[in-house]
Order: sequence, then C-alpha cells, then structure tokens
Amino acid sequence: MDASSPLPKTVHYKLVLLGDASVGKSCLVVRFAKDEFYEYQEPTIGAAFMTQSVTLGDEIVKFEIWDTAGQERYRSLAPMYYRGAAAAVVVYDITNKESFDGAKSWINELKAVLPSDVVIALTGNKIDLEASRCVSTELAEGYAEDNALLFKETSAKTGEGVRELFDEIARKLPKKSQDSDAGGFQVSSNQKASSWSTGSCAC
Amino acid sequence: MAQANEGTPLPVDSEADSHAARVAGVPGGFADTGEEEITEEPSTAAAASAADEDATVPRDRSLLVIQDEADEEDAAGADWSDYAQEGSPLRTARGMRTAAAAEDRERVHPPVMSGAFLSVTEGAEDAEEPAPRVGLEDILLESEQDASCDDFYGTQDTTQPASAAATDQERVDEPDAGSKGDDIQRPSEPFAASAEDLPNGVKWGTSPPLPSVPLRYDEGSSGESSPTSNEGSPLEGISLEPSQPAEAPAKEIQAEPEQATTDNGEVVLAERREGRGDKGGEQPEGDSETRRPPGLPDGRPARNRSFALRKSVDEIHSSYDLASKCVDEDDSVPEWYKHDDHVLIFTYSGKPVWSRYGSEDRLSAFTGTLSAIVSKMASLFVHSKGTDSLRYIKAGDHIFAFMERGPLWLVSISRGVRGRNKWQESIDALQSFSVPSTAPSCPVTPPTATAPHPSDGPTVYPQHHHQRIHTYSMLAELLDRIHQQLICILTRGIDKTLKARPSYDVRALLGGTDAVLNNLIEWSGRDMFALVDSFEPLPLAPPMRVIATNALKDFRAVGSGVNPQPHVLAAILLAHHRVVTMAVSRVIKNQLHPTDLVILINLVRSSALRQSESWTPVCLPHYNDSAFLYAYVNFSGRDLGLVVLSSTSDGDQFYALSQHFHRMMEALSSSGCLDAIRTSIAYCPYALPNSLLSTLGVPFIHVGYFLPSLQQYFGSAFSRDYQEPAREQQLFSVYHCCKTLLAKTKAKLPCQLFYKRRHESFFVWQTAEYHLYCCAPRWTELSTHSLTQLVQWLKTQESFLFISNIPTL
Repeated sequence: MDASSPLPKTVHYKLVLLGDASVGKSCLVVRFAKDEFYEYQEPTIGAAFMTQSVTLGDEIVKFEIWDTAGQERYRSLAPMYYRGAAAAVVVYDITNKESFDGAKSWINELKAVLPSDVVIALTGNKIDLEASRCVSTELAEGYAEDNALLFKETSAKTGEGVRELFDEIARKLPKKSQDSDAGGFQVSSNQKASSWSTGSCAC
Repeated sequence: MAQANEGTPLPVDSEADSHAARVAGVPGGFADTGEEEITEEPSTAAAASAADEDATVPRDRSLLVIQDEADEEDAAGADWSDYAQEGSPLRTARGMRTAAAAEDRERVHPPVMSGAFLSVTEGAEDAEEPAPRVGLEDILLESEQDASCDDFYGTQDTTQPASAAATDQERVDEPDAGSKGDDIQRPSEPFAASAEDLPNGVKWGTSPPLPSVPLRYDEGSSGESSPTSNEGSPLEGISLEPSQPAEAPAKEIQAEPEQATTDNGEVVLAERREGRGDKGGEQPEGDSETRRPPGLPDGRPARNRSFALRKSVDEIHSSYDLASKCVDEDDSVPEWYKHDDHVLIFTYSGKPVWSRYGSEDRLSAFTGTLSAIVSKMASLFVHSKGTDSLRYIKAGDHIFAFMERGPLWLVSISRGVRGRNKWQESIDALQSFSVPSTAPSCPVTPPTATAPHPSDGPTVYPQHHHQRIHTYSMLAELLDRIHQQLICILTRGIDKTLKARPSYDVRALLGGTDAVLNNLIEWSGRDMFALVDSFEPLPLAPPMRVIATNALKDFRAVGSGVNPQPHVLAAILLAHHRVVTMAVSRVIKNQLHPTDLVILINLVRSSALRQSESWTPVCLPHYNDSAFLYAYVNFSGRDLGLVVLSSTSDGDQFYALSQHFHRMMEALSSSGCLDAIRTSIAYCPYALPNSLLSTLGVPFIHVGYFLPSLQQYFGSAFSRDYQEPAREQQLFSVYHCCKTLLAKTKAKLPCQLFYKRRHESFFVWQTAEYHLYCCAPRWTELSTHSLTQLVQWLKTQESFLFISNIPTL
C-alpha cells in the first residue's frame, strides 16, 4: 500500500499447507479462499497457489497460500514450497490415525528447518465425520501444547473452524516491520532462497 | 488380401480406373472375412455377384483399395445398376457437350462416379442453367465417364430381379431423400457460391460470431414439416422415407420398426447435413441465408450442436470420476473382466503399479501371473542373438499387448472384433506388398448404393459395430505413451529405484494420477494426435494469433520483480487441449517433442492443475527424462490456460510468471484477442462449411488434415450421427489400421489407401506435404476430384488452422 493510502496497511505472509494425501488441505484452502466445497476435489499436483486476506484491526493480513500435494512423490519437493513461509498449517484427518502420524513427522521436519518464529498450526480436519473419529481431540491437543503449536479442529465441508483457524494464525504472526507490497508479490526477504536444485522425485 | 499390385502409374483409362475400385471385392479377402454380421445377412446372392465381378477385375496399379463386406446389401447393387442404366442417355448427351474439357480433366482427375453423385448433376442441371463452372463441368465430365462403369456394374444386378421395382422407386425418390436433396432443392446457391469462392472464398473465422447458429438449427429442425425428429433422441432422423414404406423392409435388414414411422426425407437430409454444416432446415430459413454477405454463403464454421448431449473430446479431461476405476473390483470379480480396455502396469518383479480398472492391491496375483508369462517367454529368446520379448497374444476376441520399459511392464488387454482379426491378417498378408509412389491417383470407389443407407441415420448399428479394431502397433503406441506419461510424473529415477530395490512399491508415488493416466487412454482413442504424433492448434485468424503470440512472449520484469524470461523454456497458451500459440526458448528449440507436448497437456488438463494457479515439477521424457522442469500453470476460466516451463524453481520465478499471466490476459482482453479465442473455442471442433461439402458433393463424416512439417493437425467435427465416443473411437481405430497398413506396405510417399467398410468409406492420403484422413458415408462417392478440391481448400485455410510461426524466446 502506498503510504498516502487511507486504506489499512496490507501485510503479506506466505503460508503453506502440509499433510498427507487426502486429508483435506485443498478443501480447507478452497473453503477459506472461496468459501466453496467440492465433494470430489481432485488431488493436487505439485502445489497450488491462492491468496486470501484476513482483516485484523487496522491492518489486512494477506495470506499467500501454498497448498502442497500430499502425495509421497512430492515429499522431497516440499522444501521448495515451505521455504520462506511465515506460517505452516499441518493438516491431518481425524478419521485416519496414520495421517496424524504423518502430521507429526511434518512438524518435526518444519521445526528442524524453519526459523523458530514461524507459526505452525496443527489442524484436524473432517470433524463432520465425528462418528468415524480415530484421533481424539485430547491427544492432538496435548501434542500441540507440548510442541507449542496452534491447534484447531475444522471441517472444510461445513466450514466449521476454518475462518477461526486463519484468524488465529493472523493474530499470532509476528508483526512485520516493513510493508511488503511491491507488486503485491514481494514476500518476506528470506524467501529469496538460492535456486533450488533441480532434482528428481522421491524415489 | 486386398489385391493391388504394383506397376507403372496408371494410364489414363477410365475403364481401368473404375475397375480398380473393385479390386478389393475379392472373395476370400476382406469381403469374406468380414465382420461376423455378414453371416446374418441374406448375402449369398450378392456374394455371388461380387465374385462374378471379381473375375473380370483388372488389378489396380496405383492405389490400395480395400473393401470390407462387399457382399452387403444386395439391393444396393441392384439400385446402382438400375440407376446407371437410366442415367446413360443423360450422361451421353452432356458428355458430348463437354467432351473436350472432360478429356482435359481426365488426365488430372481419373474418373469417378456413382449414382449419388450423378443425382447431383441432375438436380443442378435441371434447376439451374447459370450453374457453376467448378461444380458442373466436373460433374458432367464424370457423368460421362460413368458410362464406362455402366456395363461393368450392370452385372451386379442380375441376381436381384425382385428388388428392381423397389429400387426404381427408390431412385426416383432419391433426390429428396438422399444426401443431395439439399442441393437439389436449392441448386443454385451452393454451386453459385462455389463457382466464385471455392477454394478461396469459403472461409472460417473471418465472419463474425453468430450465436444464432444453433438457434437457427433448432428452428429449422423443429419447424420443418415433419416434427418427428427429436433432438437428442437416439433414433432421431432415421432416414426411411414414408413415401416408400413398401420397399423399406425388403431393402434393408436394418429397417427396424421404429424407422418406418420416421420423418420424411427432407428433414432427415437437413439434419444429416446439419451435423457438419449449419444449413439445417434451410427451406424455411432461406431469408437468413440470403442475408449473408455474398461470397460467404455460410462462411462461418458450424458448431457442434449436440455437444451438450455427449462427452466430447473437449470434455474428456474435465470429467474423470474415480468411480469409473471400479476400485472394488479385482480379478476374482466377473465384472472386472467386462471392461473393454484394460491397461495394467507392473514391475518386473510382478508388483502392480497401476491398473485402469480395479484395485491394484488386489491384482497382484494377476500381475504376478503376467510377469511370469513374460519372463518365461523371454527365456525363449535367451539363446537367440537379438534380445526380444513378448509383444502380443491373441486369444479369441482379446488381444494382450505387452511392452517392456526398463523395470516396468505395461500390458493392455483389449476386446476387439470378434473372431479373426482381419486387419492383422491383411497386414500380415501385405507385408511384402508395396504401393508404388505415383502422383495423386485414383481413389475410385465402386458405386454400391445409390440410396442413402438407412444406417446413415443414427443408432441403428448393432452392438458389435462399435467394436474397435485393435492392432498391435496401435496398442504399442498407446502403451508407450502411457509410459511417457508415467515418466512425466516420476522421471526415470523410478527405473533406478526399482533396479536397486526390486520390491519397491511404486503405487504410492502414483497417488492421485488415476485421472491423468485414464484420460490419456481415453483421449488417445478419440483424437488424432495418437494417429499422427502431433498436436492440435486452435483455429484462429492469423492477426489474432500474432497478437496472442506477442502477448505470450512478452516477458519482462514488473516493479521490483525479476524477469522470468532467462529461465523460461517454453510458454504455451492452451484452449482446452488445443494450442492457441506457443513460444520456445533457444535451449529447447527443436527438442520439444509433440508427444511431450501432448502428455504435458494431458497432465495439465486432467488434474487439479487446471483449477488453480499452480507450480509443479514435470518431466519431459523426450527432452530430459531424468530431471524435472517446473511448470507454471494458470487457467482463466475452465478453457484458457497458460503453461510456462521453467528451468528454475526459484520462488521468485513463480511470482514473476504469475504477473506475466495477468499482464498477458490483460493484453489479450484489451486487444479483442480474448474474444476471438473464446469464439473459436466455442466453435471447436470445427465442422467443414456446408457450401464446401455441397460443392464437393461428399458429406464427410470426418476429415483430418496433418502437416508433417509443422507437426500439427486439424481434425474436423464428426458428423452428427457419429458424435458418440464409441463411434469416434471406432473410426479412429480404422484410421489407425489404414495407417498401419500403409506403413507395413512400406509405401513411398505419396501413397493412398481407400477402405470401404460396411457403413463408411475411408481414405488416407499421405504425401510429404500433408496427410489427409477422411471418412464419408459408404453411399457417397469419394472422387479424386473432390478429394483434391478438399485438400486445396484446406491448404487455403492453413494460416487459420495452424500455427505457422513458433517464435524463439
């Protein structure tokens, strides 16, 4: 935003969604960004990019969301997408215990790689399927507390908890000193990583 | 055993030419090994007459002609000969008038004639004297030459005295009922237009978009005197005229009860032509016709009207449903065996990788067995000098095609034509045959029926007509393409992994790609890219294409961003699966293989990539099969997409390309180019203009035109009756067979192949400059003249149809 603009300040943050395949990452983003839900959301290839803003007091937090593919073949490419992120949402499916284990390994990886001020949120999705729940709220909440993570349970299908999740992330993000609005795409400076090496798949 | 032998180029001899057409009617050839339904027909008489003719047939010298099921409708033969006799005086009279011109032309265009074509002449002549020079002269010429066919075909008739009266009646009615009724009713218009305009005047894309086209059609068909044709009804437009109910049952075995009640011939006719043109119901719409600017009789392309009713090629990619994989099935379930085209991929240790149908988990016993078969077969070749492997197994109506690709095996199991695979036999038989290279020679067709075949009406085909013909080469090409799609997703790294860890489970790596692989299989069967190894451009007026190209390649930095261009390898603007324009960097120039492009397009269009702005690794197997490139993909709406391949995955590159996308869309939009593109998209697939078809006198079912130099093709819309996936697949499978046959005969270019099936005639013409694939109803006439004219016309459209300039970045 121009300094002369009377509009509230806009700050850009890169946010990345991680998690196993079919836990509902894309659905969460689509619910947040477009307020829509597709019963059959096609598997993401690589990573999809979307933006959505959250108004927080006198400033607008504009999320640049990288919705990554959960498939194993993209696992080795994940750093390309989460590098430079200010926030990460690690999603698991509450009806699938394995996906919770997957989420834990994602969190370990992020904690090892990303700076400590990165906001990491653990999200249990699909709470509309309460009947087939396999991961209890207490278990996940406890894990989140131990690791100083945000924790939220959501349903992309009904929209429950989705908006709150992103609002809470926006509140928790460290305040940026500089406006980063040049061209609307300038993200935090540490995003300018050196060229990522061209590699082959996870295999 | 289609007979055709080599020799010197055919002398200009109309009699020999017409005889050439019968070459294929040889007993024991295609005719006798024809599809099984032949045996259901009362065909002995016809077969006898066919044999009779064949005894007198001199051999073709320049053209491969195949006639399938020559013994079909016996009545048809009778029609023809009866008609031909009747036509003689007329022919002679006209022939004399134009004898000199005729002789002249004869050298260029060997004679071809059939009753159907002749009837055009009659209609045009009777109604209109200021008739066209292009159309009329040739028609007269050809009608004269018809005399030479006359005696010859007259013999066909002898076995069918009973039907003579009926056919006579039919012939009289034919002008109304037949394909040419259109012309006859208003003879002057198309011809007058053609005289002036063809091949230059008939144009696509230059006329403004007219959304009224479909409307006019609807009005036409419903407002006609006969209201019985219901759009969308499977039986609509079945073409038995009420005026001849008595002959119907006797004449055609396919005269089903429903047909007897159908509408009159004119409406049928209008509809039939409608499929490829927009002149449906033109009688009441005459005003609107005349309102058009002169010189553009119906100069805009006709749109496929029924596309909402079917899953068109354009929609293949947007509608994959995981349910169609039938994940509950496995090889213990009978349903699993009922799928027509299985494709299985497994590792050399027998572990399943992917299956088109059923659950891979539960198919491991099946893939294990297949792997055991291939390894046992391989042991047979151990002591032979060359390494070889199992290629295919035929069992009953199934063909199992195998392909080894490093540690992966790909197997396709397809159900084909029941009984013997005639095509394969013919191909085998013709292994040593070669077609001499001659100048455009003589695709002569034997006139077999003067009346429109009832099967020209939709949906009267028996089920097995939809069965495709599978040849190994076609299946092998498919399997190879699937493998390349796999490499596109995984890179060759998978080979190394599997060699190091034979029990590695690849399934996990392919998660979420069912749609990609399945759509590739489905698309391959229904589009020309699989036939000619190329891609399809979006037809667009050249000035618009220039604007689009400039917008596409205008990479530059915006604000404090970076200039993405140094890392851009290729930029492609897509309209559905068609390429609007593209630009290629110097680095990749000449290395962007058409197959790479096709599998990239398939990947982009089959997956969630088309739903949002994406940044994803892809591998182009022909360019570098061991590394990923990065693809920026963004779609505007569902139809128009930008794909940029980048050599760097630097985060800034994505943002720079994102800005480029928005700037490009703005440039397209402000210049009006976006509208032009969207209009063209709405017309796809393009139908040939009606005025062209009426001038040619052939209501083509489909025309494919491929330019080897550009590696691009144009495929016309299918005619209305064929707009059904199963039929499209079937026709493409015949094209494939024609192509295989030409390849097997090691024909030198230019070469041609003519193939007559039960309901359609196919013509394939390969020259160094272009390849033409076309298909017309069997009852119509494909003459050298009309085909040459078609090609000439297509040539004039090349700048509209193809991307002539792919700039280097």
